[in-house]
Amino acid sequence: MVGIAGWGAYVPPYRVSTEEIAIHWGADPLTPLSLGVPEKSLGGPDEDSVTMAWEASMNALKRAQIEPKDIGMVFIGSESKPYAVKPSASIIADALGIAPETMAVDAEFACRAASEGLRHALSMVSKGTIRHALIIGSDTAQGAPGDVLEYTAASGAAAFVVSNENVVAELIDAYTYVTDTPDFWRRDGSQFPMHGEGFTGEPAYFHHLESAITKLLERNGLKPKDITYFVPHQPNARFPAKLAKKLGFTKEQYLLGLTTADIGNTYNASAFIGMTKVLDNASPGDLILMAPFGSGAGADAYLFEVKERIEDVKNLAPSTQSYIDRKVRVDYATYLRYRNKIKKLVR
Amino acid sequence: MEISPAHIWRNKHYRYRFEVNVCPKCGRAFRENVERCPKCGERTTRVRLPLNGKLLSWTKIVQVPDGYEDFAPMYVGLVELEDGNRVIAKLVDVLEEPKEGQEVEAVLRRIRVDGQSGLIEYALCFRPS
Ligand SMILES: [Zn+2]
Repeated sequence: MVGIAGWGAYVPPYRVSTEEIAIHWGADPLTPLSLGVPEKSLGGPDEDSVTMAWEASMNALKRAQIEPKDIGMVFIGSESKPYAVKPSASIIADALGIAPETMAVDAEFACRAASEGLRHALSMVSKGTIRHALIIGSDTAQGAPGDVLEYTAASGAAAFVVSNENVVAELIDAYTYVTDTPDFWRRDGSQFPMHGEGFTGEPAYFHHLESAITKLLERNGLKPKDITYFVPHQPNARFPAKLAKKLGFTKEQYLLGLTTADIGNTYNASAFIGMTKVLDNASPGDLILMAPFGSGAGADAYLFEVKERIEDVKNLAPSTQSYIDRKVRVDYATYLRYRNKIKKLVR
Repeated sequence: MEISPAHIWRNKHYRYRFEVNVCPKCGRAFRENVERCPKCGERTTRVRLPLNGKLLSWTKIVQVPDGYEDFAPMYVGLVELEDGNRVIAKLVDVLEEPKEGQEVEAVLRRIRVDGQSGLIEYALCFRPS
């Protein structure tokens, strides 16, 4: 059986108040609160999507109890790569002791690049092409100063080790739904992403996720009530709640994995971090429906069944909640400096 | 200031993974890529140092050199690892003044950035555990 053998998250310790961001720009301070994101995480000046990926991967490897050198693919999804050209995956593979006998790839598909990697990994491992794979979603806050994205764009990473061995969550089924939908983009060379405002909702987020999730449930003869935990992509805290209601999922099913309400939207790590928190709390026999979404646009729906081994490995690495609780408030100016949005002109 | 590709490539075993070359005869450990022990001539073997230790001493650098501007003020610590080896490394996530004797753990971070278009140097640093 193929599935997830180890999981790990990383959230940096710094938080900025989204109300403070709104006040700074003379906007309505109630707007970020209506998105359900009172504060968001950001990395320190020495952190980026590679360093966050490293720590999330260390945690996933500890729980997987698999030798790094036996991993046959490192796949990272990010839209905030430190280098435009030069793979993050090779830095991570080398730093973790996985290189040189491995495939290594950086992928881009807005927030679902890492999820595309998870589908590849599950397929390649089950076919026996590789023994294990490491899949990482990692992003730093990229909202342009003054844009509404600034209220939610946060920093964090999550990683999964995929294997036929040591499985804690067995894959039952997965389904992907992709169309060309221009809801959010960043042109080559531009520093900040653009988006289609209201267009990011119905034709993009909701249409793709509803289509993928409905099809997955249908072809497995399941109803929303059969699922223990529902973890969709979470650009803010409002969209997932609305999606759950439309599809017939309850708060008991989705609130546990709704980490955006605590730390903001971590892009490629958004649904993944929610999934790591659910795995921290899941019991054998639970059915988890995880559904990442990426603009441009596509959605994946995965069905996992939790296995006995999960109880033995939960405490081998820090829980996602422990990273969420470990926080230090910084002001907006510090946020701008830490995230490289303002530069010192005098050296 | 320029970070050379060779510098990153030559140091990555130590910077990324705390791998040192140990002499099986005298036990000395070397950060550098020495194939034979400079003391007794024995062929060295690669060993990975533990990622946990305690802080023996530290200093704070306010006037940072080129390439470290993003990280000022910068803290550097002398750390005794669990196996007794001592290493010097950058301290990160310093939210209050470091304390001698405090437990620390290694994490991968950026330590130097070459302007807008040069290389980024990553290395294991220590944070309070
Ligand atoms: Zn010697």
